[in-house]
Amino acid sequence: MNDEKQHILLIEDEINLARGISFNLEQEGFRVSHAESGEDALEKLSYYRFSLIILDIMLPGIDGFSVCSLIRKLDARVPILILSARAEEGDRITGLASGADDYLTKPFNLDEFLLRVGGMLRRSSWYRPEPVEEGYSFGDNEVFLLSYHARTAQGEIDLTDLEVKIGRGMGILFGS
Amino acid sequence: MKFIHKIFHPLIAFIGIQLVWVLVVFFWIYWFLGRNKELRVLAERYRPDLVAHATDWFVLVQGIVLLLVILAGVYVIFLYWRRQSNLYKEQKNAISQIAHELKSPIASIQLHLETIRLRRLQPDKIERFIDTMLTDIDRLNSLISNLLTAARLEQRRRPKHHQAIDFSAFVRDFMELKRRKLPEDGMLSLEVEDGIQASVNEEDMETALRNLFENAILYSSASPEIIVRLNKERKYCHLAFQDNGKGIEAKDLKKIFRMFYRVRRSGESIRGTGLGLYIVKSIIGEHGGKVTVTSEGNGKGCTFHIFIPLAKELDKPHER
Repeated sequence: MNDEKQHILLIEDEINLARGISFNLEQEGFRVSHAESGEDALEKLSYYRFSLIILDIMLPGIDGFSVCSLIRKLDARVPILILSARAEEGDRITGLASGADDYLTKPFNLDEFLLRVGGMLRRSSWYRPEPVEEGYSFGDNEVFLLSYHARTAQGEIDLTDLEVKIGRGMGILFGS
Repeated sequence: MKFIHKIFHPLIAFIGIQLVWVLVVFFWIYWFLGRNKELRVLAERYRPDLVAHATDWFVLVQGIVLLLVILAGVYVIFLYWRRQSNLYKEQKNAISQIAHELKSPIASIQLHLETIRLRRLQPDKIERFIDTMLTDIDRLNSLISNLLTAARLEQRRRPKHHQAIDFSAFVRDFMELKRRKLPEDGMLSLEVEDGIQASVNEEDMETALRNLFENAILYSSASPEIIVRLNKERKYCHLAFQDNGKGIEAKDLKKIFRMFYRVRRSGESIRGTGLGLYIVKSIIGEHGGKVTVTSEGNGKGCTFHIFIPLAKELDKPHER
């Protein structure tokens, strides 16, 4: 894990709640960006890479479930925690089915919330190791097989398991 | 089991009754004409004097009229059932909606209290947290007062006491107070004619104006721009409340004043209980006035027009 603060995106239209959550996350040493709507969140997602997304369901504009599915299409790995006042079983299932990793209902206990956030970040770091690794470069592109990403002329992209396996195979065949 | 349930669905039953009714009338007329012909033949043979009488159409017409009355009754019951079942559905929806509305400020208060307990905070930070919690309590309070007002209006308890006041000053003061609650990029302009007297219950009228104001902010697509105009129009004062929000489609213009009715657009959720405009309409009704809304459609904002009688009209004791 590097020294840089982990960046969390908080999508919440209740401004009072958002301020309280941001304050607590910052106190825990995270960097927090706040989006008041799904549209705002999607715009932020196009600029930054987040370690975790906290998402409310009742949002102005696009609702939280749709935002969740859209985020999943953009990034299959980023952990998403839904934080919603909707506690019915159906809502939880819809939330998890649209790609969320965890579902917490409002009002929530602060300790529990922070522990869940910590746990999700810890688990996601197992899947996304970030050692300093030397990439394989060809042309303008550089491929990092350990951390499953590549730097191309069009920007950073994530690699799938299959792509990494092919990359490794090619590495074994042709050397670096 | 499901099949039986479907058969007994009121809509299916309604269509079934229509079909049976048409068939009964058809066979009845068929039978009636057949018998009539046979009787005529018989009568011609034995009692030709009876044939002079015309067919007894009266019995047929009477029967059809009776059936029509029964049909009308079934139709009325059907309409009533539909209205009740829609209201029931909306009410069920509204209860869960109201529960969410209550949860958000409670979640915020709980979060802030737990933060104060968990962390060592500077006094100025605690002060800010307390302010935040007070605004949450404010929101809970206005939500609960909306629920109570709706319950009172629904049970048609005696309207509250009305008093002649300077309505111009009332509207101006109230809106100035609300100006602080506008989002940073919001805009509120007042065009209020001076010295308009109206007989109102201040608490109720504040509830009505608060609901219009909150709607204008909730349903704004970007930065809300609200224009409030008040002027005399013959025996009425006309309060126009204009916003630049999402607007209302023509089909919803009347429905939005119904209890629990909420305009739903797919993939979009706006907090609310479906009570606000019902309360506005009922309160204005209690003031002997009326409220209408105009909108050029989606995304073009809307204007609520409130007409209430000028004070002279209502100085007499309030009837009803």
